[in-house]
Amino acid sequence: MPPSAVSEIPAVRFTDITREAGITFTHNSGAYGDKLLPESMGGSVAFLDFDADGDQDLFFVNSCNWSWREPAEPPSTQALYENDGSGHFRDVTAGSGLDVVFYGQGCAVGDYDNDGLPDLFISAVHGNRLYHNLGHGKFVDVTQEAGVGGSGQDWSTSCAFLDVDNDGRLDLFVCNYVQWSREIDMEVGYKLVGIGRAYGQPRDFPGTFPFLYHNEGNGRFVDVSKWAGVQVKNPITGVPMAKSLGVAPVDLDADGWLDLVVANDTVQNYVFHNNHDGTFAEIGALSGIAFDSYGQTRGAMGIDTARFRNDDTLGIAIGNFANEMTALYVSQRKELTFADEAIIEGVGPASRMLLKFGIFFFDYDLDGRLT
Amino acid sequence: MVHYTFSVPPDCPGPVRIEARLNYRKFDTIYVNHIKDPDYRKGAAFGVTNDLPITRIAEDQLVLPVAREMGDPKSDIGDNESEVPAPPFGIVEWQRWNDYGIGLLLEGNQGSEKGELIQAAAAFREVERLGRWDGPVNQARVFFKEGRLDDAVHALQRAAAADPPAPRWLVAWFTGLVNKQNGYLDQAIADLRSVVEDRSEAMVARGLDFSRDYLALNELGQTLFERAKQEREDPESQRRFLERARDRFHQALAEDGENLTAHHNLALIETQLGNDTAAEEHRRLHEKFRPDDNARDRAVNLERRRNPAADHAAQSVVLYPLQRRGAFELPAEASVVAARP
Repeated sequence: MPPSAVSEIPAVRFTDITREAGITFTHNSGAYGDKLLPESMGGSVAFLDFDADGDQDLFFVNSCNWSWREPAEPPSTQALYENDGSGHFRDVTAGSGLDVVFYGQGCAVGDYDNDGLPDLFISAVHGNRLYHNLGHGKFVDVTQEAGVGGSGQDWSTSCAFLDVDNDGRLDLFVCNYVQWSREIDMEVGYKLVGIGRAYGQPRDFPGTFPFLYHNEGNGRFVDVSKWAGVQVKNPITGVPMAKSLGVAPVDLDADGWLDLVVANDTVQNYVFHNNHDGTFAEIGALSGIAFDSYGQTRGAMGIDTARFRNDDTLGIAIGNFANEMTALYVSQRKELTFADEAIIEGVGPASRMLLKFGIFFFDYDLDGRLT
Repeated sequence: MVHYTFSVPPDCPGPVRIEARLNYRKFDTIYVNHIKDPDYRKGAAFGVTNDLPITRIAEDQLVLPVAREMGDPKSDIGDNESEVPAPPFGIVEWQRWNDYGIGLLLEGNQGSEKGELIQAAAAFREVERLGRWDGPVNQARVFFKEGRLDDAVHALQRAAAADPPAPRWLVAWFTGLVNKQNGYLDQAIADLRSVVEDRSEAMVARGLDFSRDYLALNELGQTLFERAKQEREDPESQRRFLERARDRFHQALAEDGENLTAHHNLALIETQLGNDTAAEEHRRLHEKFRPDDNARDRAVNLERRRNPAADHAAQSVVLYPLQRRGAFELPAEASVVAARP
């Protein structure tokens, strides 16, 4: 039998207060029947104190109608909500500079220019955006000057600001999912029997490389992905391998330098260990995080890390596809090695049936322990 | 499991007879042209007739009644549904339900395509209704695949309590798998050890010996590895479980030297035991023998784009329309049959 629980699981109820809080945002996937794969992704949200008034505001990432369709009416812009300090929010999108329409996917919040205000990077299908926070609820698109828009053909997903070289400036890591276009998607006849066309599977699309942008300190970033060692190629064929949906910056070995764990969908997960010189070594297999317990890949999506035992033990939780347990890679005595303890911690059996996307640790009953 | 579709004409006067044959031919026409016709390899149409012999492996037939509108004067089978007696089969009913269920269960094993599990469970309920232990055992397989671990436990309990009961090793195997995933590790170890180590008279009589079954050995090894993780406060106990797990994976490798699961787990276990050289070697072998996901996916995708027939057949559950344009049995108005676009 598994060890007995240290205490009874508390009964905690959550109440949906979205409307009472003044939040009316509705995500628009742009789906119209062709079942294009990005429609099954995206939708993202961030708490940020954009006006530096001490309370947490909200930003919602929106997608939109596809460019070859009629635009949505009213336009499905991104959405910014200001917290009045009492938990009530007001839609302040109009005129904020974030009242823009594009096919957003994820976002990262960080003060990349150290001016005391959080800025916003928004990943998207075919064109990422960086918005500089001017204060007073105004943002300006600085993608071009900053050089972080990508190739224009990328499907970018999870993203994170982090200082990879400890120079005091936030750099930027951006996951890319698969090589995707409407044409590629439509060329293959994905179908659900009896229903018709269906959403495809990532296995059928070529892999990609993520982006790592170094912050030069003058409002500009330089794409150092290749040099930094985050472009993992198939050793035999040389093609890009990653199909990334989640990234977590974390100092895995407590050496004072942030590492990166990347959740890949149907491809092995990556662990980029910081070499202290701006470059990384990929140690996914070495660390025990790359595969499931059968040595196979899973449909990995959401990711979060925490010292969930309130000691030095680090846990890396990765949400996987339906019928695959959520992974809980836990640090072992030997440095930089992890073991998936999902089964013995009870996370695995409870999660197997569910199809997991976002995942995070939190202390929902305020007992001092992360869940 | 193969699905065919066809439409019955609205003026069909009577029962519909369906005849199905399973034919086998060593190589298909594309392959024969590929090896015999240089022009085909350069892109020409089929130039060689495939005259390899066709062997009939199985055949069957079924007669279905046709329901009519009430009072239809053309009806020769009455105003409503009529029964057509099924011809006698040489295979008993429970076995037919069971075979059908197995086909549904195994149809797809990846991502969202993991078999027709709802239909499979229904088929296996019929097997259980007919008094066979196979019914609940196979329902447990369905539930396990679906992730319904509690339902799997209940089905296995019914299988063990059936009259006659399901074979002990079978119940032990599936119970071990479920206990492992539920975290009841000591019980799972006992179940899986009994599969690998027991030698009952019934097993001997049936020629069963799972001591060299690398799937069972891997599951036992993994369960011991999981159990080791519970001993983080007691390094010595943890080491003993790790060594027991290592022994089981070595047994698996003795049967299948390219086994991914065994090499992967040995890489992890040897790392935890401090044997870095051995860990590195197993990691290298795991990477060597692991299928290349990207290459496989790319090949599938390229062929799906190039070949409409392959695209149609690529997913686990496929309906094949018998009356499609270009079907061999239909008038030759259409020409595109298979590979060449």
